[in-house]
Amino acid sequence: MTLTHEPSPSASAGDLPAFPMARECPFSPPLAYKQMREERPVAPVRLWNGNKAWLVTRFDDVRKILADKRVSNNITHPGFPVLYAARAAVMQQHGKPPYFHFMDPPEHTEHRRMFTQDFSVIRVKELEEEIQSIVDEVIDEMLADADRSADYVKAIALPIPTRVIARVFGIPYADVVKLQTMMNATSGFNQDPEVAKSSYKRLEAYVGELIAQKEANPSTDTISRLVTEQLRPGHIDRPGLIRVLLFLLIVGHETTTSMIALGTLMLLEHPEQREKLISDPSLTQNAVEELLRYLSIVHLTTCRVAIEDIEIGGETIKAGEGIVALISSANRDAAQFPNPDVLDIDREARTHVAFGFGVHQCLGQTLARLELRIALNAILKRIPTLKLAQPIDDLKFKAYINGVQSMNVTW
Amino acid sequence: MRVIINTSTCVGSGECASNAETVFTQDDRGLVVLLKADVQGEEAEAARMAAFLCPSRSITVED
Repeated sequence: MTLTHEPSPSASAGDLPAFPMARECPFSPPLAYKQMREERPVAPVRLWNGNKAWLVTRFDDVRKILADKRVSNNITHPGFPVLYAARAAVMQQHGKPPYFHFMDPPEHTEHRRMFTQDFSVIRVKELEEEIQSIVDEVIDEMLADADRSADYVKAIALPIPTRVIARVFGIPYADVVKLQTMMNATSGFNQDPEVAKSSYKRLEAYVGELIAQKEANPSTDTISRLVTEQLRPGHIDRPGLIRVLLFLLIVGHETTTSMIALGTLMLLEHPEQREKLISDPSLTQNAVEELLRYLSIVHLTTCRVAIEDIEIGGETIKAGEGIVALISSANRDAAQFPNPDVLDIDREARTHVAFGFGVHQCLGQTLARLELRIALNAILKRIPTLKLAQPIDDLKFKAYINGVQSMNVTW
Repeated sequence: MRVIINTSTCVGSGECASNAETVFTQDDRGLVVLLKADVQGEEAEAARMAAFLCPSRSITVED
């Protein structure tokens, strides 16, 4: 792509490079981002629907734009950069933000705060022992295999966060597994929009049932509390509660699944880092931060629309234009992380923006960090002979949220 | 160093309480609570980091 190309004001978006861009390596962002950081740190691109959007690639600018009050996260705004057709069909169908993540303050603040208590540092710490037993149980189950082989995603990476999120919301594990199977048809770049919409409807019906069960048999769990404190007094309506719970149940496990699988794979592929971590488990917390930085799995989710003109990186983003703040690029910015393409569990990585930045930053980050720390620690300690049982080049990856579809391992 | 918080903008990310646990905690809604307004040395460094990491920019530090 030509980064020095300056479109004239009348130039159509058709002249611009297409976005999203393909990765050369599944574990690193497209090489074009590096060139952009150096040559044109805020650069226009063309989306699937022909709309223009601006990519923001530098660490400082990504933080700035995501914390800027002149950007909106309202996915139903006509200028909002939605990255594929099925996503637009599902997320824009109600003509208003489907749940708090796509709202702006003050509405966003009010709705997000319905859930902040469930993910606070204190509350997450209380779950530590339980997460440890879930992790041990899941590993026991895999190790019971007589052939000493398994699909690591199915055996380890998926069940850990799924069991944890089921516990957080007080719903049966089997129900979350059912939701997982159903949600596979709701997303993906090539998903048919109508199929995505009808799949989403079925998911909503299923979560609606879960809520109805809690209403019939209230207990001390999160959903019962939301019914009593938010639904009944009218702070949120029933479709709104269904949509937000569905969102939290999905993001609550999909991302952590990816991080456990890809994080493990990275340690297998970097044996010196793995050895270092095994000999000094006190590095685990830092290793988790470095893996979050390095992998930046939610690399396409931090989209915004400008609601006023914004000067940034030598460009003017006009009100109504879309913005993609590339956290995967920010996390490989040498100005913040020296030798950014090197995986180094000793480095100071904590300032990464893998969970995003601004008021929409990941609500479940404390929980995700704890799950990753406990899981990686236990995996390294209990399965020291773990290795990939297929050529790494044969692995199939997921595109929207980076992840591996399956991963054959042996031990 | 002096630490100032703005609870009205807090979104409960927990970045403060996990990085400077002797300076910040969270209330029963998960929102920021300041434990100490005047901090020195290591606590000041941790509070500075918390201010940098706070996604809603609800923490200010003044030398």
